[in-house]
Amino acid sequence: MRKIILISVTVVTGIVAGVAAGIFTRPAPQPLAATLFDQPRALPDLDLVDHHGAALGPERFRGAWDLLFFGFTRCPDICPMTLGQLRNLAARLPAAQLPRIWLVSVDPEHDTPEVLGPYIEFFDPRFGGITGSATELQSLTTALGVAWARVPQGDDYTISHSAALFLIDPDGDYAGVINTPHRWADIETDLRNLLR
Amino acid sequence: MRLIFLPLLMLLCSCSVSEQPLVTDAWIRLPPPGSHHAAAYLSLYNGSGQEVVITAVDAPGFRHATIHRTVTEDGTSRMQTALPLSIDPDSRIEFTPGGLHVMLIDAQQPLRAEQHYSLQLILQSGSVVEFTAEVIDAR
Repeated sequence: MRKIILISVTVVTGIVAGVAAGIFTRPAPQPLAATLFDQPRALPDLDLVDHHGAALGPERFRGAWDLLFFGFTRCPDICPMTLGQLRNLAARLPAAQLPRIWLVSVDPEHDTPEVLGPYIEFFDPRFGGITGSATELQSLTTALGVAWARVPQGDDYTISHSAALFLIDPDGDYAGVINTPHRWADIETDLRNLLR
Repeated sequence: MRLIFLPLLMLLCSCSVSEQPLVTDAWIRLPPPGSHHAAAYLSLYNGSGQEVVITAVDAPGFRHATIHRTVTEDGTSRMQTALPLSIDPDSRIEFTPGGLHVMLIDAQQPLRAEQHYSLQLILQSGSVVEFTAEVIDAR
């Protein structure tokens, strides 16, 4: 009898341990919208500023996940539309699963911190803005593979720019990209899985 | 008898020729603080039975207005000029976020939610389609 009990306990313990191991070692689900790199890529030295005018280097991206969107404040359509969608996304995610969300200006000449601050906080006071010299901006966009170009338009100009979202991991490394078209429900699922 | 029908016939012809495109659901996205550019969206129905061409936009309260189309290709978004814009007979085109929009450049005064702007589409025929668009905070 004692032998039967011992065997039963061993079997049950084994099953429980097996299930627990399965749970705790379960690989993260495949992302639905994001493309994550096998090997995250280090960012270069950066000498940018945030929307408060404070210095912003690569160390600012350490310690939490960051999500970067590139645009400009004079963009009337795709930028406010995407930032509005990011605002909705941020409202749905618990604080622990919300990356820091940044608008990086591709029109740094116009988008000074004074312009960028009220603009980005209009969408969510937790969002941040990044600007700086064209050279430093180029350094960041080159590292992330962000395409952008200033296009003359009559006596004015517009700027074509990537509409993708860029992910930086808590080590401050470029970890992945979310390409267009943005499927917001899938992006939300990916962030919940990534930041769990 | 013929004298009676002739003016009637002419009246009917002039009605079908001058039938105006119909604008509905027009709104302007409230720009964030500091941004003086805005985009207007609308639905435009051409029920005239013949092609209509928009050649210009007039927007009092703004330095300039035009029609743009946002195109996103290979992950990059850019704005294209969409004027002149043709609308096929008996068809509808939608101006929607991320696509076709009326680009309103340099507002003379900051826009406020629930404000109304009177905008005009100028047609190649010389006629003008006037409509009102409400400013909406669409965050």
